[in-house]
Order: sequence, then C-alpha cells, then structure tokens
Amino acid sequence: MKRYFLSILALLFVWVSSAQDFTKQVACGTWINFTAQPFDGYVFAGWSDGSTERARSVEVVSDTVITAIFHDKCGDFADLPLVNRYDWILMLNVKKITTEMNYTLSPERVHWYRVEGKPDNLEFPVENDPEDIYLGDGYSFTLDQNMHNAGTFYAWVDLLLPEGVTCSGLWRTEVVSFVTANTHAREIHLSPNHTNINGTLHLTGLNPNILTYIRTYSVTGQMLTETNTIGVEEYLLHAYPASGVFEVQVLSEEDNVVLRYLVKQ
Amino acid sequence: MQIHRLHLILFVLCCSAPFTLRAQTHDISFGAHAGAAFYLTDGDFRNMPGGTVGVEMAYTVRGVIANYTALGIKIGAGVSYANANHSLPNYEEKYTNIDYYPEPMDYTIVSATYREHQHQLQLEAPLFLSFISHGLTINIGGKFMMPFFQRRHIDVTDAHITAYYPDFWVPVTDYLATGRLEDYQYHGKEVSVMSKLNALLALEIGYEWHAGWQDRMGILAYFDYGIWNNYSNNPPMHRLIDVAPILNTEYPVPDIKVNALTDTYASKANYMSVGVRFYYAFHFEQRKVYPCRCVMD
Repeated sequence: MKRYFLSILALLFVWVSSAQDFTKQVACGTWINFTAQPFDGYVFAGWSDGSTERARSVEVVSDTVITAIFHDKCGDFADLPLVNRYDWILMLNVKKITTEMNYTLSPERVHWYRVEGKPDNLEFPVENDPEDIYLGDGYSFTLDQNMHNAGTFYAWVDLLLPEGVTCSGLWRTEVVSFVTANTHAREIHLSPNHTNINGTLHLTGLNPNILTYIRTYSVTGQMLTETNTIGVEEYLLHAYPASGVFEVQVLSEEDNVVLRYLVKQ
Repeated sequence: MQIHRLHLILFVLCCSAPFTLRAQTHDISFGAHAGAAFYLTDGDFRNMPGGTVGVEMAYTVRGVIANYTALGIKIGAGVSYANANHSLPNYEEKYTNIDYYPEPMDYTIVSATYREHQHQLQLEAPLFLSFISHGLTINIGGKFMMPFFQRRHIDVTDAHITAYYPDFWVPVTDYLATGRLEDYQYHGKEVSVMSKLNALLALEIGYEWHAGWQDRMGILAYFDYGIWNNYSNNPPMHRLIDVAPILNTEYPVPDIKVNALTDTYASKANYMSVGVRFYYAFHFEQRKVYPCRCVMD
C-alpha cells in the first residue's frame, strides 16, 4: 500500500516559540486524529486549510501539510493608536503606547507603508503585505505637503516588552485613508479590538453616504461573513463566534481598510 | 646812556624773535585709511572684526609754539566702507507654540553657526586737536560718523527645526507643516537698521615727513571708539529663528523669520575701528615776521 507523509506544523502568530512539529508516514486512507493545544499565553486561531475546529480528523490520501495557527493572547492586538494632524502628519501615539499599554518602542522599529492594491494580503498574516509600499521608518510619516488623495497608510511596529511577556513582536497600527480631496481624512476605528465569544465591536468612521461592505476573514484568508451598510457612521459588529484573530475589511468607493480583532476564549 | 639802554632793550627783543615770533602752518591733506571695524554689542554672542577702507581730506591749521613744534586743530571729511561681523556658534533655542487644535508643540531650533555681516557706507567728520613735534604727530579729538547705506547678510548653517508633540511624544524635524528653513533663508540679505549717527572718540598717532617742496607725507595709526549713537533696541523683540504658531487650518505651514543677532539680542551697538591712515599734505606757512635788525649803534 502506498504510504504518504502527514506533517502537522504549528505556527505561532507573531512570536514563534518552541512549538513541536509532527511528521509521520502513514498508509494511504489512514485517519489521523489530532488537536491544536496552545501554550499558555496563546490562543488557537485556526488551521491552514481554513478549519477553526481545534480537534480534527483527517484522512491521509496524499502528502499533506497542515499548519495550526496560534496567536499571542494579547488584548490589544493591532490597531495601535495613530494621530492625524492637519491631514499632513501621521504620528504614532507613542505616549499612549508607552504609558498606557506599557510597551517599549523606538523610531527605527516603526515602519510605514502605503496600501497598494488590496489592503492586506491575508495569506501573509505575520509579514507585511508584500504588495504594500514601504515608505520609511520613524514615529511620524509625512509627505511633501498634505495627504489628500495620497492613499491609505499604516505602520508596523516592532514592540518590546520586558523579558518573559509574550505580547511583543510586529504590531500594526490603525489604518488611515486619505482618499478624498478637500475633505479631512476619516479614521476608521474598530473598538475595542478584542472581545469574548458573542461579544460586539464598534466600527466607526464609516461614510454614511455610500454603500460600504464589511467582511470578516480568518487570518488564513477565508471570508467568514459579509454584510453591507449605508446611512450610518457607526456599525455594531458581532464578533465571529470562535476564539482567534479575525480581520475586518471595510470596503467602499472611498475606503478599503483592514482591521483586526481578537476573540478570547 | 639812556640811548644805549633803549638800544639794548630793542636788541634783546629782536634776538628773542625765535621765541616770540608766531607762525601759522596750514595743511590740506588727502588720505586713505584701512583697518578693522567692529560693532561692539551687549548681546550674548561674538563680536567679530570686519574691515574698513576709506578716503578723506582734512585741513589742519597749527601755530608754531617752538622749534619744529606746532599745535592746532584739524578738521576733515571722509567717506568709508565698513563691515562688522557677529557670530553665534552652536545656537540652540527652545520654546512652545500652540497650534489651532490647540496642540502644544515644543520647538527646538539649532544651528551649527549663525553669522551676521553688517555692511555700511558712512560719512565721517573729525575734529582734532593736532600736535606735531619733529615729525611726531598726535591728533586727539572726536568724530561724527553717519552711515548712509546699511545692509546685512545672515548666514546660517546646518539649521534644524524640531517640533515635539508632548501629548504624543513624537518629534517632527524639518517638515513644512511644523517648520523648516528654506534655502533662501540660509543666506539672507536685508536692510539693517543700526545707528544712523555716531559720536566717536578719535586718536591718531604717527609720523610726518617732508615730501619735497613744502609738502608733507604722513602715516598715522588711528583708533576710533564710539561713545554715543542713536541705535536703540529692546530685546528680546523676537526669537532668533522665530516659528509662528500654526493657525491656518487649510494650509498649516508656519511663518518662519530668520532674524539678526543684533536685532534679537543686542540693546547697544558701539562702533569701533583701528587701522592705519596715509596722507599727503600740501603745506603752507604763514610767518608773522617782525622786521628787526640787531644792530648796535
């Protein structure tokens, strides 16, 4: 009987620790049962094939690699606070990140990007979207003059915490769009950016005059929900009923931003 | 006997003529000078020397008071160019502006060097007590100096304007919306308003010699020191590099004024100059000769 390899890998989102990978050669047609079990401080986010069930049963009919995705159990994942001044300067709110969130950061660890094409490549949840354009480093980002019609911007921040605390690594800021000339930028916020199963989140900063699609993705890029709204600036978003990290795409004629939230167990 | 006594008196009077004869000398001189010029100020920056060159003419009248010794007065008029420099190395200034949000912004302005060059054309009118003895010439007196054309150049190198947002702990350096120097502001030219009328204490010491016929040539070291002028300033009128608060919501670009060191920091500015003066003088003598024959009958 032909035999195939089944590899079960563990990917710790943001920070890779001593995850134990598993590879076994089994006979074709064998059913293998396995369960994703996060370490303390981590949550299970889903499987690379899109499944979010922690316990799986897989029939091996070819060489197969399945990756379990885990993420730091950090309440303030992503959406680090940005400040827009005059529509000319984007600044990281370093004071808030430092004093209220207790992170340590330095300007050379803040990397600014402009969204190019699709706001976020969900196939690369850890790394930055390779399509996006790297703009430079520093606590602030400016163009020669104002940012009207300049696009959508965000930053990746490599945060540090005292040793032993897991919530460190690359974190993304809020996303700010400057897509309409002669109007001030709307900043689309998702708050809070963490909740419990069956919790709700407030999506603010929507343009009430145009149709806006709100889509929820798993971190592996699988679209889980889709809805649309018009006539409101704020939308009450129900969290996806599973623990893990999820991405919310806000898509309209003017906006195309991706925000993230965490659902705790 | 009485006649002899009278003749003796006349003889003594005549023979003492060198001591009692009064002669006047007149000199009309044309000269030029070169030296160093300063504007001495009370500002906390360096007063650096510049240069001065000029031409002048003078009229000197002296009375002979002894052999080869004469005392008189000298008046003149001249025009000269002078420049003086001021510098402030490693300039740093901090202040806080509040923009229209209102958002406090802590500004730090630095530059590697900040130089100011004063240029002026000036009229000079001296009045001296003039003394000459065996060629040694000393003139001491005063001088009015009146600048009639004044300009200054400001040179700034390696200047940076950093606006720090204390509410966010973010510094923004040399950005249009928070303030930066444009190229033309690194090398500025403008009309300066220094003193328009100066009273100087003036001293000249040198040597004068015959230059053929009855003419004279001379070389003098001179020293002019301002004791009064009409320069007035009440610092601090403004900051040296003055970034205005951001108030325009549509175009948030602050006005930036690069000011002069003297305008910003100095309440007094006294002119001083030292140098060398050469002159050629047409010399005339007017002797008051008493006809006298020392003949004893």
